[in-house]
Amino acid sequence: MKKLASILLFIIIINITYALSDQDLKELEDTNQLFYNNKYEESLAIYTKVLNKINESIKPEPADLKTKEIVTFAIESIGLILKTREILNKTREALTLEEKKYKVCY
Amino acid sequence: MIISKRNNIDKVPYSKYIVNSTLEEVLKQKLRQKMDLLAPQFLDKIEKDKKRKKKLGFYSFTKDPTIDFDFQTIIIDNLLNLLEPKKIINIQQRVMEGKWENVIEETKEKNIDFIITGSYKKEVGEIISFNLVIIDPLINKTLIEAKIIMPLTKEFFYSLDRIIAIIEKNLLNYSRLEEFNTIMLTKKGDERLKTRNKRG
Repeated sequence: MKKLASILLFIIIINITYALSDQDLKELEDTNQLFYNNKYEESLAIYTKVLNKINESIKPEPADLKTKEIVTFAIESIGLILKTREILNKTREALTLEEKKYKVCY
Repeated sequence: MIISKRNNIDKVPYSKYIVNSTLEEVLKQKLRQKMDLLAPQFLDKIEKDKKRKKKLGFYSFTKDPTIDFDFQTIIIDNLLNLLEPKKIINIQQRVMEGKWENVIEETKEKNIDFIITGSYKKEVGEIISFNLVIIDPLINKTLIEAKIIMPLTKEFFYSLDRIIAIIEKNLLNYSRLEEFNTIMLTKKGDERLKTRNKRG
């Protein structure tokens, strides 16, 4: 019984030392395609999922850490792009209002 | 401007690309480059390069003749004492001199991985401004930049020791094949030693 438990524990440990499977890496490639095609919100959700998976791993491999660096970069990039868009939209709104005010006053 | 001043923001990353409306393309390009580095063979190459015994050289410091203290010798001696017994790095003790371009060529010929150089000068009163820079000559990248501005007290030398320990910790596992953010270390007067990473 004890032996069986240790074998099971060994199998569990083996399974959790590698954070990302080949399937995950394929998913990451697909997510990058979403990012390249400007689908930022959709890709952000998957990048966050991948990042959480790496963070939960007990003993991440060097490849996992490299992936973590890349995914973090992608998440930060999306944040920057979305914030920049938001600021641009707000600036446009402000300029339109300014234009209207100018037309009313003069 | 007011908001950035209030929040101590002195630089806006990617501002050039935001203004040019090329931000999205630049970030996508960067992500593609990073994905290329994820290839298993490349990761293996990085690991091997990290374990390679590196070579370190010195380029003469810019000195202030009014200061008697020889910081160049102190730095070299400290690094020799710290790193030589560990046999993890080859240190070229002869200090290189002359034009920077020639030094770069020399380091490439000799396969030197790091050059340490710096400068020091007297500021107002007893205050000394000391700069230390570590460069990877092959890719011409500053890896560590340290600055101490304070009088020559015990605390000055403690800070110098801490900087040398940071140098050891960060350079022994260095590989130019992967991204490395420049480490900026600053110690001004009574303030504690501040560490900041600079991207790029």
